[in-house]
Amino acid sequence: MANKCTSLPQNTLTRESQQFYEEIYRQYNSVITGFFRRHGYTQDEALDELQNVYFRVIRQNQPEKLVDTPKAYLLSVATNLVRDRYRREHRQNQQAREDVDLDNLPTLEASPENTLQLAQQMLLMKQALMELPEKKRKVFLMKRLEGMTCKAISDKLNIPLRTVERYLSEAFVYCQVRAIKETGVKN
Amino acid sequence: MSKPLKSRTTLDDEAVQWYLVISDGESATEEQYDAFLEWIQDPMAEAAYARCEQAWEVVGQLGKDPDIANTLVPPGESAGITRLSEWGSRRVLLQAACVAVLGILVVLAGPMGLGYFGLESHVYRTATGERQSVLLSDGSEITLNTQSEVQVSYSRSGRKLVMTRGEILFEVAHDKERPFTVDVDGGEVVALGTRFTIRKEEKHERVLVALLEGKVQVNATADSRVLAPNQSLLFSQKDISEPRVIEDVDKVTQWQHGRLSFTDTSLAELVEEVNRYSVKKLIIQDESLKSIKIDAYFDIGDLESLLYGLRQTAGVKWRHRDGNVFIFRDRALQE
Repeated sequence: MANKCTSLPQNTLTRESQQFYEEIYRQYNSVITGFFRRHGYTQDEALDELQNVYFRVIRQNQPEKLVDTPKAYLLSVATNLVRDRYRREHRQNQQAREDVDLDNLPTLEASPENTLQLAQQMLLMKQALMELPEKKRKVFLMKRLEGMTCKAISDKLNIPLRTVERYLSEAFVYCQVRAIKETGVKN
Repeated sequence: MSKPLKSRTTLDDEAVQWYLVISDGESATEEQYDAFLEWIQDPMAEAAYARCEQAWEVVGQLGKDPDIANTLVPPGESAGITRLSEWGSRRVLLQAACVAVLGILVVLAGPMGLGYFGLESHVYRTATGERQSVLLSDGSEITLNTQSEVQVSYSRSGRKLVMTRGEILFEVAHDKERPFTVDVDGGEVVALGTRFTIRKEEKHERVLVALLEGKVQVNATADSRVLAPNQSLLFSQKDISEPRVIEDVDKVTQWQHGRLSFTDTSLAELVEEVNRYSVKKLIIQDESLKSIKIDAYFDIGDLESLLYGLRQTAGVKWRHRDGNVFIFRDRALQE
């Protein structure tokens, strides 16, 4: 990479940010606990998982999300924890449908095999992207690489919002199927 | 596979729809999260969703691929951050030359008549992000950087300029009879045939004078100094520094070519400089990003390319809000 990084990010919390997290916690703990209860957790499990939500939130260190949309952000972290639990349960049950190998679900952890797989997937993904009509590719990449909202893309490319949304999902589905599904998960 | 193709396609469609709603962790409602967890209990749905996550990640990795990047920044437009070797390209120089010539032509039309008699009085100013070269009647040329203003008053006995804002490069034609003086912030810079820049640093309430060729005398309230070529000094209302050797001459004049280069510069410094050229301000949100040192190029006026480049080199992402741009650390890249 061209840049030099002479100072590394500090993940330690300052007193202000600790107060900030505590305030968020006070405000939303009942919402999050209630959410876990609705998805099959006992009260104790819910409270344990609540801690895990905050561990993840602090580790992810995305204050902007906590400031802008605290509830949605906390719920998204909670949702991922519920998903993890589903996966664990499925794995234990051994009753997973025959054509889904839950132990081989794609993971994003780095290992030699995964690195090789990633390189291959990047190649296939590039092909898939290039096969798309230019407008669709552009919309998808503006969303993914520039983090633009559909509204912003619609304004910039002068395409109706509905069309942007359609292009986005069509491009996404196409690339997913071509580069991941048709090659990734095997039995 | 046992399932008909059609239902599979539908599941992939659904997965993408869910992914776009859920993944950014910002826009979904509690009901949507509930419905999502309902949907994803099906292991097939879980697998489809996991593939979406993976596809998203892989596309993110492709941001560094030149072909992919070209979709966003067509080859015709130069990216905000370019490697050194690309920078020498003739096209860029040609562009800079065109801009300069255009500036000269536009401005020549006005004051030319009076200038012909050695007299002229005119105020030149540039808006944010604008740059303009002006050829004065005596053959001197001034180049105004962003947000700059200068009043030029030529008479038979002298060439007097009053600089009220910004940063200006002066290329002074030799004329012994009529000294060329620039009044700025209570100080005065006197020149004969010479090239120098003056930059008002509003934040520090001081003025930077940098001499490239010839000789200038700076008369500040506190004292007077004479600069030799490749020397600069700072003065304020009450102080004046000793002349210092300019370490990187290009740094002082590069703006006149429409591109700024930054070497080993902290992101905070870069942002402060770039903001001079743009109505849309960059605002760094993560304290830890401010001290990151980067090498970067900025084509004046092309903020998007700069941001795109910063994403590659400094691992940042951004968000447009209220007419400004907020910069964050991109955690996806960091992990």
